[in-house]
This record gives sequence, C-alpha cells and structure tokens, in this order.
Amino acid sequence: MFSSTTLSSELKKKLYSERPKSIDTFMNAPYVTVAKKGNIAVLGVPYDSSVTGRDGARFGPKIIRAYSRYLLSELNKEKINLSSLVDLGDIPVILGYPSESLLLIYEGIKNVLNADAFPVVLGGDHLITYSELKAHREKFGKMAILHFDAHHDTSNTGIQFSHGAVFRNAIENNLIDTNHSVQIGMRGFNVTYRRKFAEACGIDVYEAHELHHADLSKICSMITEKIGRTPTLVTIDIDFFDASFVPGTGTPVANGFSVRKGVFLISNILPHLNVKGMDLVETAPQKDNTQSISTVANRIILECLSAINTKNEHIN
Amino acid sequence: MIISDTFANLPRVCLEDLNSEYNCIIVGIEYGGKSSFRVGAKFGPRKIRECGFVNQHSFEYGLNILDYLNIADAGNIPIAPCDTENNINDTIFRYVTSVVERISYPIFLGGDRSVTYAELKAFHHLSGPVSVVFFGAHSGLCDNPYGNELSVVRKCIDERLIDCASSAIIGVREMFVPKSDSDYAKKHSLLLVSVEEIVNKGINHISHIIKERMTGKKVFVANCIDVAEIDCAPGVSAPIPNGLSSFELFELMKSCLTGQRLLGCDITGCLGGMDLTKRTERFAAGLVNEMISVFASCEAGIKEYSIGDY
Repeated sequence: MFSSTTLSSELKKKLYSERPKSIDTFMNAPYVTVAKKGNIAVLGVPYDSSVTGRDGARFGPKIIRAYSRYLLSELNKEKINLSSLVDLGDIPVILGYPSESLLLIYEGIKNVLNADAFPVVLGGDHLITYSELKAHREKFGKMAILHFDAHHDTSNTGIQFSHGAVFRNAIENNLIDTNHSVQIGMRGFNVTYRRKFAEACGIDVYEAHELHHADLSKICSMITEKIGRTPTLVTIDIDFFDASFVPGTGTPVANGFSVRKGVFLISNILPHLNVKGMDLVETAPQKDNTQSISTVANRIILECLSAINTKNEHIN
Repeated sequence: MIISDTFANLPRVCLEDLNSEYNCIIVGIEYGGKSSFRVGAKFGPRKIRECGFVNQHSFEYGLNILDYLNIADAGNIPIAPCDTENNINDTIFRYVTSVVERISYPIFLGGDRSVTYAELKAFHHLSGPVSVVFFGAHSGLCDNPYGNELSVVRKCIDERLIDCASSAIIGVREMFVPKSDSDYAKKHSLLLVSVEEIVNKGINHISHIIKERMTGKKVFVANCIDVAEIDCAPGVSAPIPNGLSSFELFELMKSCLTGQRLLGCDITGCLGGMDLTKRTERFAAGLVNEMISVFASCEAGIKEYSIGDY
C-alpha cells in the first residue's frame, strides 16, 4: 500500500528529533532508542487518521503508559517477568498522511525485529497492523494472525487506507498465512460478505454469538490446533470487549466479551503459539471519562506478555 | 417530592447526640488524603447519598427491613482539610468510637480505604481485636513506607487491630498480588481469596470456607468497591479489570455474612465526580442497601442464606 512512498532521511531525522526527550514509559521500563536482542520492546503509534467512526486513538499510547504505573507496585513478579522490557517511545507518525505514516511504522517495527526483539505495539487505529504484518513478513515469512475484534476489518469499500479494510489489504498483498489464521469475537449485523471473504481465504472465524454459548476450552484447543507453530502476530482491537467495559473506543459494539472471558482465551491460547509480536489498538481514552478502557488495555497487554512468557522461548 | 441531602431521604440525626432510638446509622467520612492513584474519594459520601435507596422489603430474606432496623443518617464526620495524620488518628477515630459505642450497625461511607484503619482502631479500643472481611481488588498488604491506602491492612495487622486467624481478604486479582504480600498473609494466617479462585471453585465453596473461619466471632465488613468489575464501578482510585460482577459480589457477601455477629461495615473507594454516568455511585448505594438487608437478617435471627449452585 505504501511501496512507492519515500521519505527523505532529513525529514525522518527531523521527525525523530522532535520527539519528547523523556516520557512516562510503559511499566516504568527504560526509555531507549534502539532495542537489543531479547527485549520486549514497547512502541507507541499515535495514529488515528484512518478511522471510520470516532477518532481519539492517537491518545491511546500515552494514556496506556500513564495508567501502567500504578499497577507496577502490586505486580506479581512470579506471573510475569518484565526484566527485559524497554520502551522505544512513539513512532513520529504524520497525522493525515497514511502512506507516509505506514512507512515510518514499518521501519520502526523492522528495526525492532532485526534486533531480535519482541515488538508490543500500542495503537493507534487498526490500520497500523498492516505495517506490522509487512515488517514481520520480511523477517519470518507469511504470518498467521490471531485477531481479536468486534469487526472483521475485511470490507471492500474501495478505500485503501481504512482501518476497516486492513486485513483484506494484507491478504491481497500476500502478507498473511490465511490457512493458519483465526478471527475471534466479530458481531453486529453487517458482517456477511466480510465473513465470507475471510472464510474463502481459509481463515477460521468465531463470531461472538457462537462463542457466548460454546465451551471456551474446546474453542481454545481448536484455535491452537489451527494456528500451530506458524509465526504469529496477535492483534487485539479493544472493541472485542463489550461496550460496557470499553466505552472509550472508536466503534464500541454491544454483546461483546467480559474481561474475564478475554483473559481466559488469552491465557489458554497464547502459551501454545509461536508469537512473534503483538499489538493492542483503538484505545480512544477521551471518549471514556472514567478511563476504565486504559486499565483494560493494560491488563490485557500484561496477560498477553504473561501467557507468552510462560512457554515461548522467544522471550527469555 | 421531599428534597433531602440524607441517604435515601432517611431521617437526619445529630452525630454528636446519637440516641438508642436508632440501631443502624449512616455516617460519611469525607477523607481522601491517602488515595493511591486517582483522587476524589472525599466526595464519595455526597455522591453515594445522591443515589441512595433502601428497599423496604427484602425478597431474598423474606422480611420487612424496617421491622428490624431503625435507620437514620448522621451526616459527615467533620474533617480538617490537609491534616492527614490528625484526621486518621484523632478526629475520625474519636467520632467512630462514639458511634460504635451507641449503635449496633454503623455504616461508614468513605472516603479512601485508609479510613478503615481509623474504624478498626476504634473497634479495637472498645473491644479488642475484631474479625474483618475485606472486600477489595487490592490486598492492602503493600510494604509501603509512606503508608497510603495500599498498605492499610498491613498497618492494621502490624498494630494487632484485627484477629487474622478469622479474617479474610476477598476479591484480589492473582496477577496483582506480589509474593511478598501473599507470604505476609500466610505468615499471619490471613486468608487471601482471589477472583480467579472464586470463579474456579464457585461462590458456595468459598463462602463456606469464609463462614467457617468467622463462626462465633464479631465481624466487621470492610468493602472497597474496586472489588467489583469495572463495568459497574469504573470510578474508583485504582481500578483493576476482571473483578466480581455485582451479582457475584452480592451473593458471596450475603452467603458468608448471614448468621454472623456483625459489627457494622464501611463502603470505601468511590470517587465523586469521576464517573459522569453515576454507575459507580449507584453501585456503592446498592452495596449499602445490600448491607442493610444483611443487618436486618441478623437482627431477625436468620442463620442461613441459600443460594443456587453457581
């Protein structure tokens, strides 16, 4: 989507030099410019110019970091090892310029992957996942995706830079190993052709109404079997959760999942996968005056890191 | 329509001049000086009163509440702004002592969680260590040199205000209990029950364990509303997702507290003004209502609360 885009090195240097010299980092991790081998590298992507509904996800990374601090003093270090955590700050995206921003995100993630670190991306809207997939594709080959979301994100409205078409674009550009990919949590009314597209490509789709009455342990083992040990990108759109938990997202959808079910799925699926990166997108905190969305975001990232920590040799 | 600033339009009584006509009194403690993260707990009593309600008939126990309880609102304890240590150690302690001396079932509206320390100090002053059921997302056992609300339970234990062997902390999240906290609880034989354990083992099983510990003891109930899931109580100081649903919490509470010798309760951690939808205040007011029905059941001599198989 952005293959013909170029940015001069002077401009990139200027964009990076304008970043703040110090930030509230995620879980008080060291603020570094370059990731090293074995690091869990947190990257913020404050980009939300490609939303179809409400904006505000540009403030997601900042508020997730700010709310991570108070969880730190009570964290059970036996459940999660954050000794290799570093924070690379925000990628200096250019709001309103999707292809330039995608290029910057792609280069940022590529640097992390080339350093053999594990990227954790804080969005931003869901378009940014395209760049992540492209960077991962170059390092690991075609990626499997484990996609938690209320929407399929495979619409064909013809708008290329839309957060609602990111996985259609990624599939069409050959970035996703669709035969080992899974989408979970989709709901709403206008989903038929999007689901058909995903399933025709080989992706397993579990819609919310199927999961609400299903045995989740069985679903977990089916998903684990489907994905296997293919290099996987875990991408979580926070609107996977019910609108009562996350009112502060661009497109909240009712009849979603509780945090408890989300945590169950994550802690039972992720330890068995070969996860190479993750992102959590669409946190728009200004839409939620109680900021409960920020606490959900933090909890979910920590649960993912804890689940990946347990068996994945990639991190420590 | 009667416009009143008391909880659920209950009669207003003077805090300094309580008489034996009432056996259940609501007292506000507008103190939020030791909040661990977000502030606003001192506006909690005012906001909870705005949403206050009392169901006159309890369907669960099948009794008329007002046949057993004579409830009134005694307003707020006068707090001096900024004077942190004096408020906790002296003002709140003094007023709580005078309330506890005269009233069978006091209900204190916080305030941050540190007011529980002043209350327990008052109970200890009058009748020695008491058993306490702490409901909260945070263990309160942090070894914090400054002593904010995250270390309030540890402070109570260190000063021997509570009888650990018959007390419990219910509703913590496994990922947010450091090993030092769980070791400390184990050392003092204090029961620590996580939400994950409640979900896995069932409410019946857990309530049975808690009930067994407390049988025959005098029990104070310390509720911090962050024990609940953030969809019903988002306006708290330090919310942690994956809590108990309001249904689970009320069922657990009623099943383990019915038939016990209760001394009163507090409801802390509600931030005023944080939650524009007023879900948090409404939930806190609902919790007061549930506690009132539990007190009425104690007064009526009901020994068991039967719940379904959850």
